[in-house]
Amino acid sequence: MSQGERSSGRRQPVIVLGTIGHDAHIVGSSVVRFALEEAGFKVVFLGAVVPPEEFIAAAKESAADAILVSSLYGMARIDCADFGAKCEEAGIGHVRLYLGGILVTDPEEWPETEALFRSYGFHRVYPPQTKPNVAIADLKSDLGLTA
Amino acid sequence: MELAIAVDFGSTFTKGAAFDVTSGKLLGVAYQPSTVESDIRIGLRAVLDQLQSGIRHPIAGAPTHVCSSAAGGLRMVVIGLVPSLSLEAAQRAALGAGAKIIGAFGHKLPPMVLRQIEAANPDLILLAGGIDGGDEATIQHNARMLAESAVKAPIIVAGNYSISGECHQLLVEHGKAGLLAPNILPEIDRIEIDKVHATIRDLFVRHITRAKGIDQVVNEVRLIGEIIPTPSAVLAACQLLSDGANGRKGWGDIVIADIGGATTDIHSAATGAPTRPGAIPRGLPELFLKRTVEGDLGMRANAATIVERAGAAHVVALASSLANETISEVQLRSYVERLGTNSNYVPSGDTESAMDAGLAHAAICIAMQRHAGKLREVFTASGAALLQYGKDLSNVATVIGVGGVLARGRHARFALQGVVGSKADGSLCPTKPRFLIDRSYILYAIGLIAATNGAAAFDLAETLLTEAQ
Ligand code: B12
Repeated sequence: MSQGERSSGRRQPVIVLGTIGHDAHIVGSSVVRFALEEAGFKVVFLGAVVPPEEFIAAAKESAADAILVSSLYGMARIDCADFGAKCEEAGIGHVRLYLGGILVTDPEEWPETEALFRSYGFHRVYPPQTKPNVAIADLKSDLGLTA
Repeated sequence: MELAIAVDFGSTFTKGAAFDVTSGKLLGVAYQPSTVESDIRIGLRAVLDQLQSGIRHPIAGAPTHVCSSAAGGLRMVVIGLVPSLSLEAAQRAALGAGAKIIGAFGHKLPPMVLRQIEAANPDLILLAGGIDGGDEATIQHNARMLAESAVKAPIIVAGNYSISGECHQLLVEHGKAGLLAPNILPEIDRIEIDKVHATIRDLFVRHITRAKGIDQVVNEVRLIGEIIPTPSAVLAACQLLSDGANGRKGWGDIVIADIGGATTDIHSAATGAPTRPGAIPRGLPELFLKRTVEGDLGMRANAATIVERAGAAHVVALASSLANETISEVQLRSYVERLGTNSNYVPSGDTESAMDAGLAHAAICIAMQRHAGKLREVFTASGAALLQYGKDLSNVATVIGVGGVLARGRHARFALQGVVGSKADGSLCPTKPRFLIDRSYILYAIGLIAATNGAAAFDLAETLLTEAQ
């Protein structure tokens, strides 16, 4: 159902999720979606081929706690440029930003890649093959949800 | 023989039509100057007298269906959060309910906007914002601003369900006529407007028609159903013609272009699903019945803005193609200036008729492009992909033209062909429709009697909407 029940009077945490840019890979973000829902999050799922502005608009309308961006096709550098600054400008600078998927294929390039996306404003950047529960654990601690 | 009467209270004319619903025949039409400003009954009686003079059967006591766009119609202000999401949903809800949007505002409203709303004095306000379980702060802020303002109009609260109740209560505590409705945007990709439509319709009947004196009709005629806004009657006709009735096969996807003196309205009955293989729909989901109103495009008061939007050279070229002469930009501009100050002007001679048709073609073209969706091609590593924003109307089978310039003008077909427009910007306008014209100004009446006499209404449309020449 759409209407998230409010457990213990607290609002259900809201996550905006989708695959960014012209990227059509939807399997990974769907897997992440179900893992998040399983873990008790309300997920505003945008699907694949989502422009950055749509993530931001959806996060505003839903008062999201975090935005999870997935990128598989190797163009994240272009799609995610200044994502944090755009959020800041739109008045949602407080929203936590996470990025995962296949941001780079050569493991040797990971440290530099991670640094790049952090400079774009992402609070957490995940290497390929990261399991959703890693991000879920981070989310819970970042949002102060740990029981 | 079974009589039915339809009446439309417009701002300049009160119109009437009488039908035999058994045979599905039109018995007569009547037009009288509007008397909404003084006493609507005077114009109504004149219309009924005019109808009676052409019919042997007595029409007193015949079931009568009524719509109204008089006294400005249903003037609404809509408020949302994100312009492309809840505010867009609110605009669609208002337009679909037959309203005229006189203000649309997103995000947290500053005091200046409240003063603007107070000054505009709308008939009705729709307050939305936030998906269910989403943003609460904005709608809460806006409800407080409205509560503390001097706004008099009823306010429908239809935002985030977690907070809408509180907003409604706050408004009521401050003496506002607040009404609570389900969220129009319960999820980021789901629009829910049926309940809001019902609430708007109810308010229109209970408050607005009364405030404007239109409810007086109940003492004059045997009113069937409720008094509805005229655009709702046109949308009902749109739905009927698309669906068909009682074993009569509908016309499928339809567009109605209604060009008036100040505005151009486009209505579509179509799912708008992609026809291009591989096109990926984006943005808010589209409703089967959609209405858009272009307040900057009209044949008289807004003729100058048509020229501004379409370009004088383009309108001149369109007009010259119809006249046996080359019309100059100077001629066009002086004609348009005259139109702006004379809303009842009727063109005389070849040149003016050609300029009228050129203006109408250009206005309908722009209005159609704004109504229809667009394809945007994006280049990915694997090649081109197509994103579809809005409705794909390229396979629409029938386009119906409404308005003086189409009903009476000399080049109606040419003017209406504006809907086909240019494909240059990837817009998904109709491509090869048939063109029909509402010559007897009867579409509102078809919509009005559709609910009770679907088959008769459909048969009337089949005979009265005729091929554009
Ligand atoms: C299936 C597939 C396709 C399908 C996609 C179908 C669809 N609509 O989903 C098709 C054929 C369309 C396709 C097209 C392309 N693909 Co492809 N595709 C794949 C493939 C084989 C599998 C992807 C998949 O679904 N995996 C299964 C899911 C469950 O895993 P996942 O996506 O990795 O997601 C998991 C994690 O990464 C993580 N995760 C994902 N997102 C996020 C986000 C966050 C925040 C977190 C925490 C975690 C997380 O959680 C998920 C579950 O565990 C991969 C290769 C591979 N084995 O990964 C290539 C691959 C992704 N594709 C690739 C490429 C290059 C393309 C194309 C550009 C060209 C091409 N070669 O065909 C096009 C791009 C089209 C477009 N516009 O997007 C490259 C990308 C290289 C790069 N990143 O530098 C890959 C890696 C293949 C390769 N080795 O070259 N592809």
